[in-house]
Amino acid sequence: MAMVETPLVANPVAGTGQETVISCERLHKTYTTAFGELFRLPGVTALSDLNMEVFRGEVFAMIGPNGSGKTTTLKLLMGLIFPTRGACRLFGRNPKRDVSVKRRIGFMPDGPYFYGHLNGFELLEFYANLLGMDAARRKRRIPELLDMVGMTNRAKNRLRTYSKGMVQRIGLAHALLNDPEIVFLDEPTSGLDPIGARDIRDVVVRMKAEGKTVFLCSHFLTEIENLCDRVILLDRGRTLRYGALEELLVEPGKMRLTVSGASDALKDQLGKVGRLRRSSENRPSTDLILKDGPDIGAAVKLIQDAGAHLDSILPMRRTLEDVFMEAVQRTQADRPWDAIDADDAEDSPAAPAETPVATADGSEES
Amino acid sequence: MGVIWAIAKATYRESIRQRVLFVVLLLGLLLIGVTVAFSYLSTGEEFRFVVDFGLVGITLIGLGLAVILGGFMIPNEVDRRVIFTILSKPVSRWQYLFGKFVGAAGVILMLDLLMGIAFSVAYCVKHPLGFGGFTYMVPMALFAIYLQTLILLAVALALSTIATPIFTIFATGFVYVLGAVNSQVTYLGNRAESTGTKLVFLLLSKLIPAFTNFDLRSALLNNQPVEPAAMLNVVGYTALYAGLVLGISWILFHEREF
Repeated sequence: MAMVETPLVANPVAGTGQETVISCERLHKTYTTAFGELFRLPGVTALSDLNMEVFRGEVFAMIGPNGSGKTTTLKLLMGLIFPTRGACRLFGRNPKRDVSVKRRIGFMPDGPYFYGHLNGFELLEFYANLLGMDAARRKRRIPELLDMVGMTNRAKNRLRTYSKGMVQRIGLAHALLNDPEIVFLDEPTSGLDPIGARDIRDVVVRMKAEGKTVFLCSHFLTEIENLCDRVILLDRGRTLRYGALEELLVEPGKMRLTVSGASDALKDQLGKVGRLRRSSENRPSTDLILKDGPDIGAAVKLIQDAGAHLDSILPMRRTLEDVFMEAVQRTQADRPWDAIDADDAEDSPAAPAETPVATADGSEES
Repeated sequence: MGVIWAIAKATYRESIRQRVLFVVLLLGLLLIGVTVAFSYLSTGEEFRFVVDFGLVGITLIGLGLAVILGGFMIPNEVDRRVIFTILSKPVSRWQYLFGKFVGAAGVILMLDLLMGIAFSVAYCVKHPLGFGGFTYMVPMALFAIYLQTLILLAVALALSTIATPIFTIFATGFVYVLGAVNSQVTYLGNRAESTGTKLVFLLLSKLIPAFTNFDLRSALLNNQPVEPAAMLNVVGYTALYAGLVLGISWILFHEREF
C-alpha cells in the first residue's frame, strides 16, 4: 500500500469561541454508476474523508490541482451531489434536507452559465425571485449590484452577447444578490482582465470588512496569498495541508541569507553550512537557507571574507506556490494516479471526526 | 409559489424563443391548411376529412411539443450547468420540476391556441352551416387534446430526469401509442384465457394512460354533446395521472446528482 501522508492540520476551533459556519466531517464522495453500485464495484473517489471548518468572517481558500476535489466539495455544500459518507453543514444544517439555508449564502460557480435570452437586469431579477426577495428590495439591490460589478451600461443587453468576463461579473452580482453571510466563489477571476480581477479582490476585501465569510476556490495562488486567512490544500481528494495561511508559509527556525556576487568557491563553502538555491530567474543573487543559530554567524563571516555582498537576512518564508508545489509533487510521487482508487478502497475506514488531528506547529513536516 | 412562477416564466420565455417550436407551429398550421386544400379528395365527406386530419394533426404536433420540451429542458440545463445556479438558491427540487412543467405547459397552451384558432376557421369553412355551425364542442375537443399533451409532457419530463433525450423521445412515443390503444389492451386482457396473461394486460392497461376518452372526434362529427361530468372526468384523470407521474419524477429527481 502506498504511503498515506498525515495531513498537517490546524484546528483552531477549540476554545477560540469562533462560530463555525461551514463544516465537513469525514466527508467522502465516490462516484459510481448504477451498475457499479448494484454489483459493489469500486468507483472513482473524488473526495476522501474531508474534515474542515470555516469560521464566520474569514476568507477561506480551497486550493489544489485539477481533480483534487474542490468542485466536488462545493457541489456537496450546495446540495447538488450527496456524500457517500460523512456530512457537510452550512450554519449547522444539511443543505440537502434544508434548502432554506441557501437563503443565507451566495454561490458563483466556475464559468457560470445563465439563460442567454435574458438581459443582465432580468437575470438578476430572476434569481432575486428565487431568493424570495420582495419588489422593493429587488428594485434597490439590483441596480446597486450592477453598478458594483460595472455592468450598469450593459444591463439591458442579452447575456448571449456578453463576453466571458462580463458573464463572470454578472455571475458575481447574482451571487451577492441576497447580501449573503457566506459567499462561495469558484475561480472568480477566471476570464477576467486585470481590472476585473482587482474588482473581485476588492469585493472579497469589502465582504471581509463587513464580517462576511468568503470561501474561495482558485488556481491563482498569489491572489489567495494576498486575500486569505486560512487555506486547505487538496490533492486527489485528500487533505494535504490545512490551517492558517501564515502558519503554512512560515518555516520557523530557518533563515534565508541572500548573497550577491558570490564566487563558485564561496558557494562551495556556503553549501557545506546550509542549502543553496538561486533567488529567482531574474536575479543573479543566491539564497542560502540554514537553521537559525551559530551557523548564521559562520556564514556571514564566510561571505564577508570572500568580499561578497550580503543583501539580506530574513526568516524563511515560503510562498503559497512553494507550499503547493512541494506538497503536491511529493504526494504525486508517493501515490501515482493509477494507485489511488485501490488505495482508497483499503484506506476507507479513516479516522473518525472526533479523533484529534495533528496541530500545525509550523515545523517542517516530514 | 413565487419560486415556481419564476421558474415557469423563465422556462416559457426561453422555450418560445426556440426555432424548433416555430417550425413545429408552422408545420401544424400547414397541416390544417393542407387538410382544407385537399379535403376535395374525400368527396362528400370533406368536413369529416378536415375534422379527422385536423385534430389528429394537432394531437401529433402536441406529442412532438411534449417530447421536445419535456425531453430536452432538464438535460439541457444540466449540460449547460444552469441548474447549478438555480439549485444553489433556496429552491426545492420539486419546485424546480413543477416550475419547468408549468412553463412548458404554458408554451404548449400558446401553440395549441394558435393551432386551435386555425382549426376552428377550417372547421367553419368546411361545415355545411359555415360559421353558424361552430359549437362549444370544438374548444372542448381541442381542450381534451391539450390535456392529453399535458400527460405526455409529464411522462417526457419524468423520463428526462433519468434518461437521455433520445430514449425519452422513443419511450414517450411508445407511451402515446399504447395510450391510444388502451381500450384494446383492456379488451385483450379480458379475452385472455391464461390468468397470467390476463393479469399482465390488465395491469398494463391501468399503468398506461387511457387516451380513448380524450378523443372527441366522433362526438364532434356526430354533433353529440359531451356531458360536463364526462369532461370533468377527463380533467380529473389528467390531474391525477400527470400528478402521479410528476410525483414519480420528483422521487427520481430528488436523488439525482449533478
